[in-house]
Amino acid sequence: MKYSVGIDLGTSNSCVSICDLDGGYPATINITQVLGPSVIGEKPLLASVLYLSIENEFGRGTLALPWNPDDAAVIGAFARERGALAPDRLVSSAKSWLCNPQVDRHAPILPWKSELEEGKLSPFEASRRYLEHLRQALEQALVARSGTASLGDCMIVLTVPASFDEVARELTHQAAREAGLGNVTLLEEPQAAFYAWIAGSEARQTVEHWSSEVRAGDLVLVCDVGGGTADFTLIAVAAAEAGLSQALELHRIAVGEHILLGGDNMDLALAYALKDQMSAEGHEIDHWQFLSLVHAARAAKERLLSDAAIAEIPIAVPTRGASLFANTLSTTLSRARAMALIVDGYFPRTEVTELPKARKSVGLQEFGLDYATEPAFSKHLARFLTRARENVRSDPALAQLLGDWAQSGDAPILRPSAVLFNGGVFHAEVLRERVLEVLGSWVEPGASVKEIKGVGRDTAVALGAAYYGAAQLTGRGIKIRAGTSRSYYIGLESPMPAVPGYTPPVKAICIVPQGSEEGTEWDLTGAEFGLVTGEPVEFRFFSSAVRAGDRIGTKVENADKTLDETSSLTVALPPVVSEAQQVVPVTLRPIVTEVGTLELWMCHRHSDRKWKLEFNLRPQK
Amino acid sequence: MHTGYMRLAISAIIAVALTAGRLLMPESLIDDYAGYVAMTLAGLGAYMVVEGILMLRRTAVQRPGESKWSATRILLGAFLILLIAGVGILPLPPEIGSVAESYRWIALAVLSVYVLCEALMARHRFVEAPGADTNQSAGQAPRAAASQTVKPIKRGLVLSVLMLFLIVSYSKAMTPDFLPAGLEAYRDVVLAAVALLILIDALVAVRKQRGEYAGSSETTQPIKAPRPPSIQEGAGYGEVLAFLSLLQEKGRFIDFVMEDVTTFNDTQVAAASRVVHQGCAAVIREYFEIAPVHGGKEGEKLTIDKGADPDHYRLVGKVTGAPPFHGVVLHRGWKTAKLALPRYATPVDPSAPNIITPVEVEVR
Repeated sequence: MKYSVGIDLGTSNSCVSICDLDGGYPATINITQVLGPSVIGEKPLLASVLYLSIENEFGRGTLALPWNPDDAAVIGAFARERGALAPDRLVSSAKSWLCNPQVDRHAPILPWKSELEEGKLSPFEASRRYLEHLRQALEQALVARSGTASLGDCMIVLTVPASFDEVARELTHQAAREAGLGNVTLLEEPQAAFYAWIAGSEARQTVEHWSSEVRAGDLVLVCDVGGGTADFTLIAVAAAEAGLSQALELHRIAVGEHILLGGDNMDLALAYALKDQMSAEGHEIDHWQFLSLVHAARAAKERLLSDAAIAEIPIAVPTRGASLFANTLSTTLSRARAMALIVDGYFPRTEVTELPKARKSVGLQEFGLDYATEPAFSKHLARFLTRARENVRSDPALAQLLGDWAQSGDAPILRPSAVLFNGGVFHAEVLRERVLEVLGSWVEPGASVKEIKGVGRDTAVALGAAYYGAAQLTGRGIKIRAGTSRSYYIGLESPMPAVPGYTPPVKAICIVPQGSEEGTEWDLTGAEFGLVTGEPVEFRFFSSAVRAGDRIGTKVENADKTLDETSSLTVALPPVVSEAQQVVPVTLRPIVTEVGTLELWMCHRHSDRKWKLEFNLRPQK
Repeated sequence: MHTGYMRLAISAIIAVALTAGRLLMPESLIDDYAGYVAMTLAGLGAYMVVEGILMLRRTAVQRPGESKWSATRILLGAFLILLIAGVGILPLPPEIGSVAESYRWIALAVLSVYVLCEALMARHRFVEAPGADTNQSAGQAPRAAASQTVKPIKRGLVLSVLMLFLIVSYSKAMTPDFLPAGLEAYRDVVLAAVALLILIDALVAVRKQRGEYAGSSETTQPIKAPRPPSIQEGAGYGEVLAFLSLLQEKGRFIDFVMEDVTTFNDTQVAAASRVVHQGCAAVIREYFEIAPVHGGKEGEKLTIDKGADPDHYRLVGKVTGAPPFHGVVLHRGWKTAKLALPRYATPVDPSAPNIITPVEVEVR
């Protein structure tokens, strides 16, 4: 192994970084991509969108890349621009679809709601293509560095949202394998952002090592808001046992839910507000002008939020036609309006008890869904911290690890003492300040929550992932103790007489406790299943992010109400020739693999035969 | 160097060597005359290879159909060299008489005349065709040249057929009885190969001419891919074109400069210029890293020392004497720390209309 590679496969943008194991710090690579017909160039980010061109839309070979001489599908900057004008042919947010249990993730459903008759892609296939593009770019970068493109020299760490469930993680892992990246290691994105901060503080060689910025008992909230999604994680800092090389230990103790809300929603909100404003001034704008308006709104937002001296920004919206002078409409966006919409709209000063309304099905629509129901990040944050408290309460060991301060106070939340921001949204200082202010008001009157200064917010996840890989390989540096972010359960039907109109309650048994570290496996004794050979058997599969106290074998009553149901599991035993429909006694063996995926095996009691359980990816009707 | 000139030079050397060589040859060399002819033939073979490769390179992209002819030519040339090399190394049997020599001599003379003719034709096509002398490859030559160049090609065809006939008839009629049959056959193979080569050459020329000048002729292969410009021709045009279309797509730059501003009031111009400023500034920031050359303010005093980089400063006003110069900064200059223009992948033909931004049609 010569290099550690971090890949951030984002919902809206992807990024790759390389870290040389012989010293040196992670650096992002340039990703060659199509910028227009016949035009290629390099950018550090690859837009995670794919445009399915119409036959003969562009000249033959004009969408060629060095490694791909002829392809009708474009990925990257040009795909995004072109797709904005022809949305029916644009595959976007594939990652959010990958963790949506309501669709078959191997079915060609993207672009969503498109009238295309053929050429549609599955969320899995789209992710695979992005990863393949990143692999090619990586190989180019390796050639530039050392003359050969051997991925065998690289440990590859691929980041996934902390909110991804096991199915989405497994699909991502599989997509990476099919994209030629091999057996990648999975890492949660907020953890990667945290590693990037550690790497950054080491790289700067400042007097203040990262371990002097936090102390035992601190609880760090990683607040990652990207273009389309928000992801929260809590990392606890604890004193290490005496005699270890590091004085501190880091534990990831809670992860949030998948929230489809990000910077793009803010740009849209501003653009809609400006559209109304222009219509009040007597100008109606069409769909194409609206696209320009979104761009203008984004630029205006960035300037207004970063420079307090600007009172208003003029906005000019051209038509699509060539006549620029006669038909350009203009209006202004005032500071007060932008602040009201963005800062007070998305980060309002809410009470800690104000939570978003019940979770709805995510991902079925793109923009507008979360925006329409609950745009306030503050409320999502309150819900996350409340659930984290609930999780800690369920497990005395976790409660002890955390220290008292985080769990005390009147508010029903875990109290973070520091925040690490990540994602493009937090370039704006005013938003970071608002989050700190809201958190402070929840923690206790007058208390402050400090900010930990992160590194480059668009690339931090990829950089952190490469740092993590290097730390794993060389044994230097610190590792966040994490393990599985959720606990997993398998459903058991209760033997009850059938009563019409009454659904018997489902009992579930814990098969993987929360926080199980990579590379562990165990046999589930005490629960034996009788499998009928020759036909597929299906199990209900549940998970929970708030039951840290459950140990292996713990039984949960009313599982369908207290746990989250994930995709079901199926297993098919080959028929035994002599006896059809034979019932075979098996036990369950869960394995958390070294690369961070979960495997479940059914083991025959009386021989060493075993069968792997597969996730059923068909949507549940 | 034009292939036409190269052909002309080589064929002239061969022709002179063959005709004058016999007369001017020193006594001491007369004995070795067979070796001399063999060397000439080897030179001819080498020429054919070179010519074939040149042709292949020129035609590979434009007319894939012709490449196989050129490839055949290379093979034949190589074959010729091999055969002749065999003769050069092996001493010729003393039995070869003057009759056989002269026969070979005639054949070679005819051969070189053909090459001369062919070269003249090529020169005509490449150099004298109007408009084809600067950056145009043969494909852009006007059709007016067509009628003038068809003749030499036909002449080449006739000549080579005639030569083939000559060789065959000579070898039958004039072969001395004392020559071993094997050697005879060997020589015929060599000369027949040469003749075949020339035939192919002429065929290529005719095909090519039809393709280029007849244009619409259905029998020829249609020209699909655009012609690639040579290294000097059109270098950087694609990048400039791509950059221009970026400025238009992101900043409406072409719309802005192509419209007559005089009819619009300042408010309208201001609104439009905001669009252009925002878009173009984003493009410039993405591909360049622009900063002032002079870090200070405009209007302040500045001394330019002797060692100052002349690229950095433009001296205006009363510039006399030698440095150091004392003056006032009128403009602080700009420099870029980065030049990362997007690359343009397909060749651009600067003489044809090139699209900056396409017609946009909304399909309803």
